[in-house]
Amino acid sequence: MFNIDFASLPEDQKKNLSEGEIQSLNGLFQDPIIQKQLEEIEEQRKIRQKYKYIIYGWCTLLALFLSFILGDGSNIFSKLWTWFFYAVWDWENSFSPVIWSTIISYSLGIGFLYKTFLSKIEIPLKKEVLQKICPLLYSKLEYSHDGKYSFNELDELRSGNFLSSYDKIDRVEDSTYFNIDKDGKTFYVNGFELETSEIRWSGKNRRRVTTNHCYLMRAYFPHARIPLNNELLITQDVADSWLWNKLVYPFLGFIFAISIWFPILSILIDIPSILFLIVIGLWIISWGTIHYFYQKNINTHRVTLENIEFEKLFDVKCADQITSRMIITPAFMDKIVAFVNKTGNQYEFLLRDNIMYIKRKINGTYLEAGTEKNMLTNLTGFTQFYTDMREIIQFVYDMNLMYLSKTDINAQIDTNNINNNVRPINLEFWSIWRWSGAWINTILQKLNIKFQ
Amino acid sequence: METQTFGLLGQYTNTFLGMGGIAAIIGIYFIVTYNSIINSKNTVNEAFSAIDTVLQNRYNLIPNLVEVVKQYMSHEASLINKVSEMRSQLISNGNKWSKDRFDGENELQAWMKSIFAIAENYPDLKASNNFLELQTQWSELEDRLQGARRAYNAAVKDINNKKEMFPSNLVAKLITIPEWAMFEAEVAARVEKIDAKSMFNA
Repeated sequence: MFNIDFASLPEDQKKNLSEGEIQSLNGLFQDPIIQKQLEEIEEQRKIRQKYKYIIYGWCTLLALFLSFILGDGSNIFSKLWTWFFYAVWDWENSFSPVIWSTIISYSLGIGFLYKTFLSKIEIPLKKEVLQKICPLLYSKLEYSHDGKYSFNELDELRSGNFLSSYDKIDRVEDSTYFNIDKDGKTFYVNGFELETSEIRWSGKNRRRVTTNHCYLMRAYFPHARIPLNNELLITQDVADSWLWNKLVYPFLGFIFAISIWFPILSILIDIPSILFLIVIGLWIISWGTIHYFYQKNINTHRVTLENIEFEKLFDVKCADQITSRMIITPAFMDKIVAFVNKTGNQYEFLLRDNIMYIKRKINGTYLEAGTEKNMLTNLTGFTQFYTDMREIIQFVYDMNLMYLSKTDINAQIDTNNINNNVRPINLEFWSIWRWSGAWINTILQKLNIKFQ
Repeated sequence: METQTFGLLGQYTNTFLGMGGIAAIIGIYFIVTYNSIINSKNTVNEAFSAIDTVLQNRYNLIPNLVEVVKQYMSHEASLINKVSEMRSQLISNGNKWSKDRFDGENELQAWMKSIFAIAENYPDLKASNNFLELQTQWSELEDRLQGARRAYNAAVKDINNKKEMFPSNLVAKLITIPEWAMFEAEVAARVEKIDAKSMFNA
């Protein structure tokens, strides 16, 4: 029996869970299927823990071996190998083919062992748990592991500011869908987990690193009282950030100045008496230019609001200053601030037409086991996910009150087609082509060129 | 190393270059700040025009609303006449920026609220599609007016900051900037407190 107790989590992690919820979650993890999966995970983890040292040892040997092949004979490892091959083994004549075939077979062996023992443990625990957790969160919440409830506008969103960092998508899964009936009107919410990653090298180790990871939700209010024609973007605050204002972009300015003017300075280097003045002058001009354009970029379409706490958390941008304020009322700001403070997570919002997109940042993974990941670490991420989802549902429910018309007169949008917006998304294995395509698509859109 | 000289400037080269550089920086700052203040000034005017436009839309809506209400609330003639009278006064007021005008606008708003409150006692009126549509339009205009006022307040705050903060205040002193008052929450709160019954009986 694999015992999981949410009550044993640290206080700051379980503070948003009620006693009833802790009991429900504990009960959920007692489910026979989940228990079986947890036991399998632990079993696999124990095996991997044993084999990992063998793999590490092999990797070390390979690294030493390569240091000889690739080295210039000056470092200690190269000298040791030189001594080994030439003094002890005397392989001078047959060196090359033997060495290279050894390296290749050795690398393949490491790759095989890594794939077998150190890669992610592929047991669908997350899928199983999320399927069971959805009814606990909300009776109408539906779940699909394969991204069934993702939506059509994803490509469009990626070409704008809201999802600009998601240039290529590696994972779309764990989608959810629900609708809420309120005062005889219905609105619809669907969302999914979205991830991008890139290959990074640290020394000679190649690893895939998650660069962007979020849960993206789309709340559709067919009866919104104030449809918005322009995009209203509520992003994390950067304009008033100390890091940006005092450190990042002065530093960028400095680097910019040096990099642009350094070739000219090198020509003038024989005039040391005015060098300092020139450097300072150019630095100030360059910094001022960057500052000017950066501020201009920040202030374009910026909507400044009265709620100080809200302003500390978010930057708001919208071309329509009045309609944006009709939507972001003082009550709206209070609600968002309360929501963000309660979840303690990073959120961004995009409002357009009758739709609100909510982007919830995900730090790390949850319910995904690996050799070094124990279940408690997974539970922390899972608890955060659970409480955030609960708060999002409540938040969207509250938003309904502000968006719904007092009468039916303004309900002009046909809701029959809502299900057509829900579709599966294919994963993009050749994401570099996709990325290039997205840029070309953006340029074509700007030039207003359409292919028939 | 041999000392470099630059024609007539001679040994004062560095001093002149330094002073010239500082003067150039101050000049650039002055131009950017001056343009920024002028931009803020125009933004305030634009924001005020937006308020004015909404108020004009409100004036246009009132006769339609009055016509519909008259059909059902014949006993409330004095209230309806009062609203029409106030509308005429406000339209004829030539000074768009005057405090009298905004006091009048707030009063008109309060009277309209009282009409909607009293309309609750007339089921036929409440059921009228025309009335519901006009009421919705009024409500939207009120929301738009609030939005326009907040946009105006933000614009005024921006220019006031530039007027009062160092060093932009040095440049601001060279420009004639009127004193713009903000719309304060107290006004809205005061309007909310007006008792419809007492107004009606007055």
